[in-house]
Amino acid sequence: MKILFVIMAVFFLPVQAHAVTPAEDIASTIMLRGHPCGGPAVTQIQEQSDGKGNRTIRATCPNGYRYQVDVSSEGRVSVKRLN
Amino acid sequence: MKLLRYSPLLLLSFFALELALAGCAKPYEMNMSEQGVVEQETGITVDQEAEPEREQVSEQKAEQETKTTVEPAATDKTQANRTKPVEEAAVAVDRPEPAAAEKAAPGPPEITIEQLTERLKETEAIGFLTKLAIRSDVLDFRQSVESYRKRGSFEANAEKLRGYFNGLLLKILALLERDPALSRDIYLARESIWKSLVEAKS
Repeated sequence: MKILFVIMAVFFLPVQAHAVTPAEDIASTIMLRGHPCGGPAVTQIQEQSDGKGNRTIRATCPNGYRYQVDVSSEGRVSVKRLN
Repeated sequence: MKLLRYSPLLLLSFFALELALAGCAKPYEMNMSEQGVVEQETGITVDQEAEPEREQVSEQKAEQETKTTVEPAATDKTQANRTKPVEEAAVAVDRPEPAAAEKAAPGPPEITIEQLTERLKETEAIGFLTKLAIRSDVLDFRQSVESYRKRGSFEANAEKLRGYFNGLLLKILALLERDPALSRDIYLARESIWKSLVEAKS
């Protein structure tokens, strides 16, 4: 009987949409700039920032291309391919 | 014990059922929302109650036509008298009632650009980096509009700029797949967004 209750509870649980992960966010940014990525999420993310507020993110797309995403201190985003 | 052994299988089957149900419900919601968008855009609502009336009138008209063909001896005057009310009724049904249309279509909701910007900032459907990239694109667009204005060639390049704007809008709408309400509101407010982006800075 308990198992039945658990099953019913799981059945009526709402399917919630998850928030965007950093890997998905980077992949979306790469694709928004018109670069091919081959999938919704990147891997091998490396992030570094200098003291002036500029950020550099390097990540590999599912299609094997590695990209560098530069975020300036003013919030400007640019993407360039590394390989 | 057997029930315990098969409980993961049961769970999986329930999940599959739930997903299938969600998949069935989605197209219906999409249809409904599309209809809503069309109604709000055009201000014309499809009066479903008027459809049976129209069918009834067309049936009456067909009957009347058969009667007139069966009685060829009847005079022109009587024929005109017979067909006139039916025609009038058909015209009255075909013509949409303005009061009913106004009542059914309340018009697009009042959404300001500031509200949409705030909602775009707060939505979880897009990540932070993507939001920054969109912001960069919008700033680039504004800069190009300003440069065209300074050169006095804005009107000549308005079509090109509109194409760029449409592309940007499509990208944003595609990214907002997980926030359909915001996507819909941005789509409805696209003309006011365009106006606010291309208006000359004082």
